[in-house]
Amino acid sequence: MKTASWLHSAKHFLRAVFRREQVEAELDEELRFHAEQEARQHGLPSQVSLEMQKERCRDVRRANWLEQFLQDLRYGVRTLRRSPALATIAVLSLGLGAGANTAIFSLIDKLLLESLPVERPRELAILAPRGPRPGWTPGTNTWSYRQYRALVAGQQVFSGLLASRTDTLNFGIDNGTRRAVVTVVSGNYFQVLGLRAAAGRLLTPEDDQRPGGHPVAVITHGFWVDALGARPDVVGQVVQLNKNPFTVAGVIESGFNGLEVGGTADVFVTASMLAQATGYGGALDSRTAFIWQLYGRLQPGIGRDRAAAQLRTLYVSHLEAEMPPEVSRENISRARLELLDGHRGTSGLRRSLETPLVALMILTGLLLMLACANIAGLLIARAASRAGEISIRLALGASRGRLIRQLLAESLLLSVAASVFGVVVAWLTVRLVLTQLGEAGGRLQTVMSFLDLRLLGYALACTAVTSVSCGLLPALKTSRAPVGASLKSAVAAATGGNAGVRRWLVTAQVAIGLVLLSASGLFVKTLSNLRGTDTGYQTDRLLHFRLNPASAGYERGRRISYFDSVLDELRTQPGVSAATIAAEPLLANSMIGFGSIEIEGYSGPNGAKGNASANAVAPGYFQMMSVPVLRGREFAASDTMTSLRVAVVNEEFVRRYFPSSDPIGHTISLAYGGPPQYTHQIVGIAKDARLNNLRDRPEPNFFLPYAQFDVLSAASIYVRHGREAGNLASSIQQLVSRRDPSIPVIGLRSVDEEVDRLLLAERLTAHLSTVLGAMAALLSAIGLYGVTAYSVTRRTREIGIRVALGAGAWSIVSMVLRDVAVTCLVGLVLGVAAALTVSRYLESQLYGVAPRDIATLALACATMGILALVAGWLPARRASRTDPLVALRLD
Amino acid sequence: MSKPTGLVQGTLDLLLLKILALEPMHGWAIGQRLKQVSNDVLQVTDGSLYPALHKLEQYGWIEAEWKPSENNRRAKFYSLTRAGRKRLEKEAFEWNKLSGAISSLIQLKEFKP
Repeated sequence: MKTASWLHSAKHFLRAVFRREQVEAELDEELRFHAEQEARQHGLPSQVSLEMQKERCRDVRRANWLEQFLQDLRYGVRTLRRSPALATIAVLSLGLGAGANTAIFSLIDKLLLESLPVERPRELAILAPRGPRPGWTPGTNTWSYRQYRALVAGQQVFSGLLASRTDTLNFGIDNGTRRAVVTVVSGNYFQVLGLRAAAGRLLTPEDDQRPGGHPVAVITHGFWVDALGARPDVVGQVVQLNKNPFTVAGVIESGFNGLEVGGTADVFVTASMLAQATGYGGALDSRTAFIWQLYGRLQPGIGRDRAAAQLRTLYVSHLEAEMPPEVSRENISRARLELLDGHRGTSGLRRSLETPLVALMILTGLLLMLACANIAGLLIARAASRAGEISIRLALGASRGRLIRQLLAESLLLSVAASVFGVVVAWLTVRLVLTQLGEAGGRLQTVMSFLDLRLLGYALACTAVTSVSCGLLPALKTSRAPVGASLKSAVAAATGGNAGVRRWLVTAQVAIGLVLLSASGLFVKTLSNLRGTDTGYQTDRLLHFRLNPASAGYERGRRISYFDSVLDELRTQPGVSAATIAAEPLLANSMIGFGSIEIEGYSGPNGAKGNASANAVAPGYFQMMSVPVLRGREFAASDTMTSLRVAVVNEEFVRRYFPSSDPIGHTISLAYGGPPQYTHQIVGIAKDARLNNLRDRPEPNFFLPYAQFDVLSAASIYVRHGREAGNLASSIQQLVSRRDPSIPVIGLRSVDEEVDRLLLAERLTAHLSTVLGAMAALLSAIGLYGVTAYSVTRRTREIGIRVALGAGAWSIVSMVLRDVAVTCLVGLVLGVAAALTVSRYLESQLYGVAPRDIATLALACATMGILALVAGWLPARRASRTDPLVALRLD
Repeated sequence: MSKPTGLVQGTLDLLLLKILALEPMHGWAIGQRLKQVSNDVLQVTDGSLYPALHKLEQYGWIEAEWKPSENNRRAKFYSLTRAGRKRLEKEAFEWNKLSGAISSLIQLKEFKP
């Protein structure tokens, strides 16, 4: 029985919605028939009017709420069309606020929140060593392959443990070569991550047995589409990785781009093919090549902390067996292991952008609040002016609930329109941000999809919550209005008594606007400070590129002579004023870190040795970079592979390790992952310079001649040119390719460009916050204009009287402006207080400017003040032109 | 229904179902028949009759058909459905139970221990 009646209800419902005219016509006919019969019998009209009867029948209809809702929407559209200014301002401000929020939220979601596109990512953990890693340049949380093998053999907490490392190589296919990123992985990588192949097959442990015996590779979906044009014959294709033949075994399912978020992954090979893919075959057996990232999939039921504790014993006993004798047993016994949450992978981009993005989120949240205040003010004013209309409707018998629903339907319309606009704004903003990010942004983009439903939902939620809550209060208030008072006079009705609320809203807007303006001022200043930082060397007219002869199979001696000849040839090129080499690029946070340096004449606490970062450079480097050599000399052509080993140190090195003696003539002994092998004599002291990045103060540095740097494999070439770079780039390409076509020029850029890239996070914050600040200022101005215009209308009579009594235009204007000034001033005071509080949290992002910088605050206040005056002047001028006759007659 | 009789709203539904069980008819006729059968005790106002009928129709207990009436004008005739018949039985049973209980209480002379 229940089914039958459900069907009936549904049938009636649908009929009421889609055949409404018919249903209404029948209702009309039925009731008229009844009325006629009644009249015929009694000759009396019915007690209840026909329309009222119809209404009661409609109330019973199930489809009623839908009908009423559609009716409300239609009515809402009509009323909004009648006040286009309000609708436009509301949609624009709400859209901007919601759009900015959605944009930042989507970036945060992608970069900070999202899980890796692998199976059950929450089970993944990143292994982080907290013990001695002697050698040079160990990365963050990296291990040696020997340690990996030991852990795999002895562990019981993971259902799978994988190792991975990325590098770049030359990818050759069909006689064409390009650079590609290779990820060298343990054989179980794809199994542990639970990934599937889109074509062919993926790598398995069977592909990881014998060194050099498994020339198979697997490529990512993105690489297949972008670089190989999605060619259908890719599986089985033979390609060259650093000139070694590999067969493409398969393509990974789309959406996976390695375990580094924002990074690229192109080609995957197993660890047994490390030598062929990267030229560093020794890394598999070396005790000191800490270059592998380890991820483990935890067994169900075991937490990260417990697992870490269990693994620790294994780790420590392996250290005891493997570490060279210089590493103290005490250090080893204190070693720990940490398991980090791996579900988001690792990300360098995340590290640099995390705080700025959160800061931006706060700022956009403030902007949304500002937009809310704007909307609320507008809706309040609107509700007040409609008080008359509402009273009439109440008097005609409309229920309060129905009225409120109708007012809310209008708010809903605004919010839908605003969220559509907001999505467009969000899309544009994200595009803008990704363009700013440059290369890094490009990779991120392949992972972002703009039709993400969550995004749209977020935007709609923002706008709906805002507009409904802003519309609800006025709706409640006006529908309670005493009928008599509002019906009497339109102007009296406009005295909603809400002027105070609106004024406070504008004050809040001014305050928030000030906070946003001052924040953007601080960020802009930070950026310009960073850009203007004296690095200690000359970076203008400087081109930079890298060459990697090791990846083409050159051995040590040949590498050095290769670099020698490239430098010689470069120096003869027209337009080149100087050229030099540095093993590690400048301003890339990649100076080579040396721990355990034995410094002659220095003994630290507990017999500790020295540590410093280093670079290996060509003779003439210091002169070309304009870094003064304060004492002694810099390197010369006479410092060769076989001559006395020398070094140049910087001032900070001297301050720390030779506070009271002359370093020149003393020696330093360096260890390359074993006992200290090479002793270099200090021959010069150079001035401090910022080598790693723009922010950090110089630390102890030393320099070696690149010919005496045994592990030189790739190096950066710096070329100083004359006025125009012009064709220099292409002649450099030709020159290098003539020398050896299998060694490509990597990353030819001007150093100025690179500095810009370095300032990615700062640029992002500066630009976005400026846009936000501008929006905030604009919205505040609009809000102020609205309130002033409103109050002028309210005071029309009073102004008319004043004019009639002889007040000049100027006195009217100043009267109005005085109110504006008061509102603005209060807002500014509150804003300054808020800005001072907020800026404390921004401190870590700033550089060279205090969070309480007076100049920035003053500038922001001045900007807001001027805007406020302009916004208030327009209605003030209108007021001064009031015709007293018209004003006094108005009622 | 006029409020003073204090009848529950559902009773109107019961009465309408019963009348239609005996014979299909249109709204006006239902009102007349009700008055007639109860000797003018039960009179339904215009404002409550049709909403009640439409509600019953939506639930599927009665169905409607447009037919020519006594004076050849088109009118909406309601009749009971099978589901409605079941519903009527149930409601009638409940009503008898309720009214029986009330009647026996009213007729009590004294409370028996």
